Amino acid sequence: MTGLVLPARDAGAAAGLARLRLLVGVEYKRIMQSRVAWLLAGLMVYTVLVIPFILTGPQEEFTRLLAGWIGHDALDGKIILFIRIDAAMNKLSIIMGAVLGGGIIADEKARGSFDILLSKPVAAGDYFLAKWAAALLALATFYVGGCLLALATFPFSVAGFPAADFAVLSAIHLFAALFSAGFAAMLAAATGNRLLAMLTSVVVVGMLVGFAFVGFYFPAIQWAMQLNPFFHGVKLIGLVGAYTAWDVLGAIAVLIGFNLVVAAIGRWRAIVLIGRG
Amino acid sequence: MHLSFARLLALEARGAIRPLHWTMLGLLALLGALVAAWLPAWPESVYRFFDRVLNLHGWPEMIFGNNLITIFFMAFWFGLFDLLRVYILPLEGEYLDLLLSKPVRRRSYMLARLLPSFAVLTGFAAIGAAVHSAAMLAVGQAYDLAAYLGVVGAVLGFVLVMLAVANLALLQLRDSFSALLVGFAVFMACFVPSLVYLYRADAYAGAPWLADLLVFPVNLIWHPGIAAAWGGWIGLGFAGIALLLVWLAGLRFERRDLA
Repeated sequence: MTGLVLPARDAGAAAGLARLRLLVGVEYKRIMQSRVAWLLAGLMVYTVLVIPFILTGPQEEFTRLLAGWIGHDALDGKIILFIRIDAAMNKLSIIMGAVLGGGIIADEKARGSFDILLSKPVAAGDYFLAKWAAALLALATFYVGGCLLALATFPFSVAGFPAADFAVLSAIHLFAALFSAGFAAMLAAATGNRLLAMLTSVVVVGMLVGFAFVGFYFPAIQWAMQLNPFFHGVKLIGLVGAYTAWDVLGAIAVLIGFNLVVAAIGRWRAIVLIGRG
Repeated sequence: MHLSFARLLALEARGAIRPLHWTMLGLLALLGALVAAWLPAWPESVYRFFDRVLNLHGWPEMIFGNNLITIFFMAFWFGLFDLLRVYILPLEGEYLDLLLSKPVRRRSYMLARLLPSFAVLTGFAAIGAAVHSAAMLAVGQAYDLAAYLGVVGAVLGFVLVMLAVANLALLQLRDSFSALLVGFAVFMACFVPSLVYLYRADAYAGAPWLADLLVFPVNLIWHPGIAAAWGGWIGLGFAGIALLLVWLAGLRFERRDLA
């Protein structure tokens, strides 16, 4: 944070917001200039180069079974969206979240820099929120970048690519992907151990992703899937051709709720952890 | 004077079993039992999916196939986090110099850290697989034991190769975040042939033998006879390749400038 001048702690609410904005900006810049950013950008390119091949012409039996699960209407488009999320974006979410969120607070603890942090005009909870917001912003940058690349190239490489539905579904699924970073950040603040947070995040989000589509295959347990953010991230696929603005906004609102819950828990644990020194 | 390799190995082996491994074992046992007991209660369309799309016939094959993915996933990711202790974490924590200040060659250090780690990982994953096998037996979904052992042996050997490849790549990095992303790339690269089979099986129509060879680990279930007769040997062969890769990584490590 060399050269960063933060407004004093007692300078009022506007100054508090300015302080947060500054911290978010600095952290975001740090992430985007790191080697991790290049590697994440490379993984996003994979989703654009490799995925089109498997998006076109799935086997007949697979198509028939999928129609039974996600509905026959607008089936070709639904299948493209299903495969894109299943083969690429869900799996990428597992690692993006762990890498971008797993070091928050835990890194400072490992470096023993809580004392320096406490001497700055920034509250522990605000510090966590700034790092959380920067991690989510970075994830969103990669996610949206990957989607824009797909929107620019898939219409030429994937027959019948449903661009509008893709954009809408991606707008929802983005918030499920963001959850993975918030979840990893919460674990990092709760445990103070970066490796434990990242491994737990990979395992738990990996299982949530594994169960993302189970609500379609096994309708009798769909009620339990309401607790899985990744189910909310994909459930619009079943409504393609018939969804309303409320379906979209409802799914986004639920996912924002999931994100806020993990952020609130993470903030609380960060205050406790930093307070202990 | 150099510390003898046997002594170094004994020192590293002493602390090789860590809470990480017990956690992996607990998860494998829990998920293995859950899959064995619960999967047969899933809708008929799921059965048809495994039967017609993935060529798994009967619940025992389907239960085993599902759990095999879990074993593959857990063994790789827990193994990758353990791998970080060799080079990346000491480098990040600025104590690699301290570790290497012992009278020990770098390649010996790497081998002595990885051999016990690999042994414990495969041992614990094998126990997890055994719990799953017992659970299958308990719910009346028994799978041929010789084929089961062969498949698990080959899969764990392959996981070691993946980890050894990741270990080689990790020598080019300096932080655990990048290391995890590189590990993820190795993991995904191994899944591409299976993804292609799942969504574009026609890609293998001209050369079905390619699917038999590449669609790992489900291909081992397609050929239980081969798995029973050769699975263990395949696993040992993979373990040998993994050791060779670790040796190569050790040589590279010798030449690496750590400044």
